[in-house]
Amino acid sequence: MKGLIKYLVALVLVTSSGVYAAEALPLAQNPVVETRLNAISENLRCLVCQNESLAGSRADLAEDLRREVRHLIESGRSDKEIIDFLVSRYGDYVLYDPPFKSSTLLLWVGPFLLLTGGLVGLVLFLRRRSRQGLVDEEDVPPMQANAAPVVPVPRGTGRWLVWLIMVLIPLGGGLVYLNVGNVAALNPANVKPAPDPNVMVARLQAKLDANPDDPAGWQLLARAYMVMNRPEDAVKAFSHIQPEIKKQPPLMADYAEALAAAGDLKGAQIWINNALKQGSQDPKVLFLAGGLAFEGANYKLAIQYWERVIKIVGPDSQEGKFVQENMAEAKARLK
Amino acid sequence: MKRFWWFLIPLLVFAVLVFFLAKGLTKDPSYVPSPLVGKPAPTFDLPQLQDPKQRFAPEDLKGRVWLLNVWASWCVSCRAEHPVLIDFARTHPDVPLIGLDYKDQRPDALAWLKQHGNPYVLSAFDTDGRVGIDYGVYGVPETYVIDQAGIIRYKHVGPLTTEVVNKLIDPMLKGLK
Repeated sequence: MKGLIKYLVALVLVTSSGVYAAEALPLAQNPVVETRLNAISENLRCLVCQNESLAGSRADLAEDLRREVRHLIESGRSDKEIIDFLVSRYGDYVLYDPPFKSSTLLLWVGPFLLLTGGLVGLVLFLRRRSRQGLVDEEDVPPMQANAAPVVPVPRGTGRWLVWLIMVLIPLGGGLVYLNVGNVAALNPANVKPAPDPNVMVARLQAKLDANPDDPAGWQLLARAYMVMNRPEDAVKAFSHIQPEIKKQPPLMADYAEALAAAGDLKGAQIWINNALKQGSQDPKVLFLAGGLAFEGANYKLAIQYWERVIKIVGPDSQEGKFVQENMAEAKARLK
Repeated sequence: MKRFWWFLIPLLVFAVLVFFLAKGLTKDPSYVPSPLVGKPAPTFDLPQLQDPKQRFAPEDLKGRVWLLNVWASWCVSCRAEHPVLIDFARTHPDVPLIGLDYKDQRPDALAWLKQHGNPYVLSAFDTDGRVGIDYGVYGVPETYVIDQAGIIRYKHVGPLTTEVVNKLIDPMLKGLK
């Protein structure tokens, strides 16, 4: 159902004559921007409430900074540029993963120094003890008359246990760090909170261009383009898998959505008609059919289709509410 | 004798630990060192608080040593700092004290200055706080010392006190002249 929501948002974007078209999509609703914003701000510290990340903080300054990061994403800056923007103003302090340099040397190396010191101390201490015998005479509590005799610990076992602990503790610490920590942050060049979606999509495109016989790949690429608000590229991607689309009405709806978003309402209508002819009950097909009818000023038909959508998705679901809003608009137009 | 030395080691470790913990207690955990010190003051062009038609840009004060004080009418610590600023303006007529009214409403800010007195030559009006972000402002009040070349020489986070002015800012201003 998540796909439907995304698609609904996209459709609202492209309905050129609809009421919604008058206002630009609020920044907060652009899923690509929000995903990147979250990924970036998760790794940054809020300066006001220092134990919270920039993503989680409700402090006024955090909201301002998120707004600023959102603008930077919108203006096409890379994650690194955005992080540099904040570091140049607030210092390395905003990074939860500080880079490895002279001022953070103690931070990174300190724990290992302490660990080494502790281990060396432990070894020296144990060696001394084992030279004196495993248990000092003073350490043994005075025997009581009727107490069970103390079972002597064999020397070998004790020593093995010590070595085992000495290996296990650093090993365990290392494993915990590998899971919880971020080793890559040692090198500031590696600090990339999230892979840039533009780069990922470009890679996928190149891969598919070289090896076009991959319907699932093209489908993924087309969907990514739709989320990124690049419907023309989505249409191009879909055009590689026309035979698959013809077999699956939900795919037809995806394709029609891309066509409509790219401005080809006629093409979208053809595919939606195809899907309807096959008796599709896919809510997306029905919603698009309604949307196209709405575009053609056939509000009655639009309402009929949308009512069917609501029957499928339920009036109280997020999608249902959205469709109801559109229906109210269509009804208003009817009068 | 050897035993004696062994006993000393934990004591030493303990002393080192106490030293660092004690040092940590004297530090303000909310203080974040600014990377802007030693760098050119970020430029901006903002309307003035008292006369929105007039504008202020840091370039206007090129060639002079001046103070930029970030304040707001909603800021409680600014109230505590205010007498120090009034005093500073009176005793330092040669050092322009410029206000940056941060995320404030114009009527509130004007009423605040009227009630408590206006130590500023002028205040730039940064209503959406964007200039504040460029200056790395994270807690009002903050004060910047900017030299003739427009380089930030010092940043003070939190309310200025007479002690800070006497011990830190005055010697710095003297050195800059």
